[in-house]
Amino acid sequence: MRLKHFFSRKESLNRERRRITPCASVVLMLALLIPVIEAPAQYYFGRNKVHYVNFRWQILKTRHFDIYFYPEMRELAETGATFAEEAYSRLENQFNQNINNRIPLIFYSNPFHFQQTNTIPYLIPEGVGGFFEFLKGRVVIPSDGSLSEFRHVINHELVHVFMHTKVNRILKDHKRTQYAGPPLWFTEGLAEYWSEGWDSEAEMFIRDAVLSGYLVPLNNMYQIYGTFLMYKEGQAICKFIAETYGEEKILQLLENVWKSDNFSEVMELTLGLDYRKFDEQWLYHLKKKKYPLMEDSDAPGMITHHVTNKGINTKPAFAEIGGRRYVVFVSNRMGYSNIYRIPYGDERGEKNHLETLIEGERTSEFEAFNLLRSKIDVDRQGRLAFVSKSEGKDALYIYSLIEKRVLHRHQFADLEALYSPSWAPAGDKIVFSGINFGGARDLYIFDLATASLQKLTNDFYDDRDPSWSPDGKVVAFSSDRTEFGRDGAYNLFLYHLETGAIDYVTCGPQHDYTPVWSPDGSALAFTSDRDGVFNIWLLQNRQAVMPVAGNVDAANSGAHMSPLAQGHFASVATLRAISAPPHSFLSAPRYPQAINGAGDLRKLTSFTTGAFDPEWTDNGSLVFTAFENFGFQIRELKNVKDFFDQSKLSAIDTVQLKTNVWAVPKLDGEMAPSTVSYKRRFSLDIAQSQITQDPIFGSAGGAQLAISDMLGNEQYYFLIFNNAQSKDEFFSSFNLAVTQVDLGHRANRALGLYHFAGHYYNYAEGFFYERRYGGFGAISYPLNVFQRLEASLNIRKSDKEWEYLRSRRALLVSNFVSYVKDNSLWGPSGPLDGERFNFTLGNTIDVQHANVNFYTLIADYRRYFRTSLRTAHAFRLTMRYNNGKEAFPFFMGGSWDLRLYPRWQIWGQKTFLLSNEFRFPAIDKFMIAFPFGGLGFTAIRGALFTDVGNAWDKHLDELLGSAGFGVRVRVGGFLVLRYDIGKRFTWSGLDEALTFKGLKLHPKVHQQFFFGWDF
Amino acid sequence: MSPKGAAKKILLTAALALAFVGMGCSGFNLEWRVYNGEPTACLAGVSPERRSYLPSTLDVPLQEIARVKLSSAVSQHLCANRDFLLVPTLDGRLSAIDLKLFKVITRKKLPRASAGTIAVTRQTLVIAMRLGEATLLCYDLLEGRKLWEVDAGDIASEPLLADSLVYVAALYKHVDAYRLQDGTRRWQFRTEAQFHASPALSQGILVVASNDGKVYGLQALSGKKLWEFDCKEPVLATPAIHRNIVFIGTAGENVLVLKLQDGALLWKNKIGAKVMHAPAANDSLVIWGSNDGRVRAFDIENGTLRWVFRAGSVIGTSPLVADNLVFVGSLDHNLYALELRSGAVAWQQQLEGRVRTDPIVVGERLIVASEDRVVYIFGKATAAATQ
Repeated sequence: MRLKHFFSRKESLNRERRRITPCASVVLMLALLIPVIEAPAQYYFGRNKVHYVNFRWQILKTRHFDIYFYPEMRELAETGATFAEEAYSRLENQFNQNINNRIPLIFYSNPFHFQQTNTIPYLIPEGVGGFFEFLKGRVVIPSDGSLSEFRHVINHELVHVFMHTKVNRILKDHKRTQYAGPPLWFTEGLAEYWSEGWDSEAEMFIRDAVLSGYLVPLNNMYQIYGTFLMYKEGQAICKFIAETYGEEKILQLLENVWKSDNFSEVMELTLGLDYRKFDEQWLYHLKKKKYPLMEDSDAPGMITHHVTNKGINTKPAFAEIGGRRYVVFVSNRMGYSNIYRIPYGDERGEKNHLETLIEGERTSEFEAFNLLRSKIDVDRQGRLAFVSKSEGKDALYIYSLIEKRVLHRHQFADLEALYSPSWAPAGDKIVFSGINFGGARDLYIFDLATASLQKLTNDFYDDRDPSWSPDGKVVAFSSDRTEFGRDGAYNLFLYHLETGAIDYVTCGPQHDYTPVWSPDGSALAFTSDRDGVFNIWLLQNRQAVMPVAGNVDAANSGAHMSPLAQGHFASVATLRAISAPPHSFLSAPRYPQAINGAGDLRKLTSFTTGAFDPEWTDNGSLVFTAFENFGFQIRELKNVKDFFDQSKLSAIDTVQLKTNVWAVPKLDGEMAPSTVSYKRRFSLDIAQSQITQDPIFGSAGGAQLAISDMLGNEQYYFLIFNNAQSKDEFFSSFNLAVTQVDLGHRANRALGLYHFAGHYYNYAEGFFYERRYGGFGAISYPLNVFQRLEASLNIRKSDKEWEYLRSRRALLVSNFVSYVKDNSLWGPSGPLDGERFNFTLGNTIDVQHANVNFYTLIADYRRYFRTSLRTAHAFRLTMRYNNGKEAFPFFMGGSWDLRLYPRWQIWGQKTFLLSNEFRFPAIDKFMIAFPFGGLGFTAIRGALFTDVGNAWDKHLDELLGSAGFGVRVRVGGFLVLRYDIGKRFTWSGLDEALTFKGLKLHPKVHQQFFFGWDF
Repeated sequence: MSPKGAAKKILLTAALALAFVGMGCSGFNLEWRVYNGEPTACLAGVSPERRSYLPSTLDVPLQEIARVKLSSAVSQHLCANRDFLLVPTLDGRLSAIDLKLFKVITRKKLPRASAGTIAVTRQTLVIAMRLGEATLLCYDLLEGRKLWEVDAGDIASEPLLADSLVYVAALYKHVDAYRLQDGTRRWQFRTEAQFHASPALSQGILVVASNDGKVYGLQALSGKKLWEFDCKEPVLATPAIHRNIVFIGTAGENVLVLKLQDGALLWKNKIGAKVMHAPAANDSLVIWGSNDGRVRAFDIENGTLRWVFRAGSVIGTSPLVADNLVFVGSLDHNLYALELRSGAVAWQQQLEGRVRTDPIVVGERLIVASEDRVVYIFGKATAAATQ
């Protein structure tokens, strides 16, 4: 899996994995309804994977790939096909391995479409750039508008495909199928290293880890298992191995994986160093490389003014409202992404005056702010322009900082994702970059008065970070439209609004992002990695500038050079010492340009790690985002002029009229792809069999399997088992079920048939035999990510017999409708913020014999009040009500609801439960070192709780309660172990409870150990 | 059968009977029947020069005579004479296949179930283990008993048997020579890097190439270094020698030709893909397969590219030149027979799995294995089959 940025930590993945998608909830709901409703109400919440778009899938067949795409993104798919075939050839050579089967590549044109994929059931967090799913061998990748990133992710995932194939083959050939294969740090590190080598992002993270002292040695890698840091360290380790021991050693590590189930031994056999010895060398090497950087560079926090210190804070914008000055920014300091403001220039602003402007991730209006990708901007009238995901695609919002309300919300028919809005000086227009349905990112201008959209650029180059000049005539932006863009470089350009011409501002093999104009329009500040990591550079206009070969000359004459229109440039970028002699200049360009020394380009900051998103304030300072100590903070660089004058490094970019700008060649000749329509073909997902032996119910055996199509839109589940206790019962004891689930549309549907027969037991009814068979249908319609409606119909014949004493026949019809809401934010063991609500109404009736007739009402409300970043008060009120003839009982008791009482041994047709819990962190890291390795628990959480509730049929005689202390330990990211200890108490009746009288505290201390997430 | 032949067979049978008796005494017994005392084609690369050249009358088209399923994928190299075939598999077993009955006579587990490579001379079998403590083992094929074993370090390459010596290049950064008779180490040459390439020998000069790209010319009898050449890129492919010329293919995507006597570079060509296997050479051409799926034939004298053949995937074997044909296997599941002069496909056969085992020719038979655990035996096509 490719994680795009460090928010994509496994923690966030796990958070999403726990949530049940609509399809799963349909199946689970049926599972709840068919037998008695007894499973605890843990699973009927969850956010929704909403399928806003019905894709018309087609398949592009290349030599090695089946590329799934939809017609609107055909050009992108063909480009991806070229990238994939190029990657295949490279990796085939590198791995000395091929892939026997055609590789399914499923492309999406943008991240929002990707989040709708059914190839995995989980919700996909914002930062996931693609994944390889090994059951069907599928590679699923979205584009984010950047072809170089698209190519990078394709390469990354194909490294996984080749690695997976090679390792499996080696283990199989050597009959070592029980071996686990390479560890995650290696597989992900290699996927990064063999797809992009080493880049400024990786350099930034490793520098920071070394200089801040949190680099985790290989021997302790389990402490950061699955985190973005682990990915980057893995990449750094692979780089070190390749550079120190040779690239071939990496391949040999894979080829030697059969020699031991301990990868440390494999390393020793391959490199002559086990983990410990390797750590000595690697850490020494890193220190030797990184420590000298401190000589000429600084940690951002040491030389700049702190604007924020807590959480993750990015994308600052300066605002002046009624004489008061603010910094507005995006932050996830409380888990959710919100937009905040703090007074500018106030030393204690963050502590005393932090103000939440817009709360994100709780409503369908503000689903996500794209924390690391999209800037925000404030105009002179105090209007904040920002984008947020809303109902499946981005919307452009105008928010009044004065009135503190949303003034406008705009979504555009053909634009799926929007980025970095920038106000026109007059405040009547906004320029932004947007990804269309086909996946191309271009620049657009939105006119607020006419609500019209003007497209500025129209090509496959990635145009981003627009910034409107103070004179309103040009837009500076970043793009990969130089020749270096083929290799992923981004440079700065000017778009002349009057003529539509595009001029170079910078040109070279680096990444120049987020240009921002100085208030007087004489300078552009931007971030660039041209000397290894991202720092802020300043391009100052010169008073006298000579014409630059072709370009500036043309710019001044009005016949502007457009790489698109003319496409004849080759470029060279050079860095020079500041003492280099200045060029002579003949005439002044109207705007800052770095080409051939036309402007004075200097490195403004020299941070060891990285600086991003500069933004001018009204006093000539720059506020920006700095990376340090594994976090992003807003910092301020005062006295910009002094920094500029004292800068030790300047640069001159050159552009020469020479070669074509780049284009991605299409596969042709014998490699030319063909296109076919997508037809659903099913293949196996899960197959397993089981034999059980029970001292009371005897033995039973069965199997289940699941199949689905390549896109996961249609799934079938089959279940068969037999629980006959004698030969005579064999044919009558077959249990069969088949369920079809259709996830291809917004409304998820399930249909099924079943036959169940056997002896059952529950606490309410004792032993009984029941045979039931029938069919069901269910539908789940997501209103948005957080809310859905569900309905089901279940018709079945049900014949029950209680210990040969009594029998009942019925033709039961059950109807249920539910409303579900869930916008909770999860911590390591359960929700910490937001709310969850489930309201279910239904009835079950015997339409043949009138033996059964009851109604069901379930209301379950949970609310989480954040008391600090990591503590919360959780509240739960659950009421379940069955009333009528042969109404099913509900069960409660145990660790999931009424704690410290026996599990599921309190039952009745009516139940209620009131819970209060204070959740807090107990231990963040608990490590146990064994001679053979370590075992780490990264999140041990505590809870103080009290529960009150009971179950009854006719009369509620007493209230049961408990209070105590609990510990939750997360194990392996998917399991939470729970331990509760405390005392029970009772009230003899509801009246006493309401008046807090008659409380009886039981002396005995009870304790429970179980598993499961917090409610 | 002549009286001499009958006597020989009786002796062999008696030897086998003794071997059966000795089963309980030896940790590793060979119990197959050896019809012919001197197997052929039992060194990887056919000869100590490793040049994979074989005069042969084998002609194409061929047809499959038999296939034998084994316990796992087969190692790089097979060993056969007219009557039996020795097959080491990657699950650490050694199987003997009767080439008349086309079935496995016996299958033995190697120590620690670790994969090994083999070489046979006369009646002596040498096994080099990829992992273990005693990694070089010597057996008497006729008597089925272990003659000796030594700890030579993990060995990922093929042993070389010549002049009563066993040469091995080990992963533990040394090249050793052992007396075939008793396993006594004759000399050891230590380097800075591991060896994946097998040693090659010609005119008393042993040529070895290490992972760090160093190629050494050693005096075969003493281990004394005669010369050294630095390719400056990893060498994993076994060198081959012919006519005073050493052929080197690198993982750095180059092919080089050195003088055997002093290691001087004669020519070098960039081919743009890794070379993982030894080349084949006759008097005029040297032929390399590479990871880009291409087989290239160069003029030995000046490195001029004579022809290129492109398979569907990585070339998984060393080419084998058998008279006017070049046999080579690919991961695209195909075994190709190319015309030596032009590189045109003379015949090809699709197998069930990737081909990573060097093809061998024994008499009128072509034997190859594929990754799907099958050994294929091809012979002359009948008229009906041809049609």
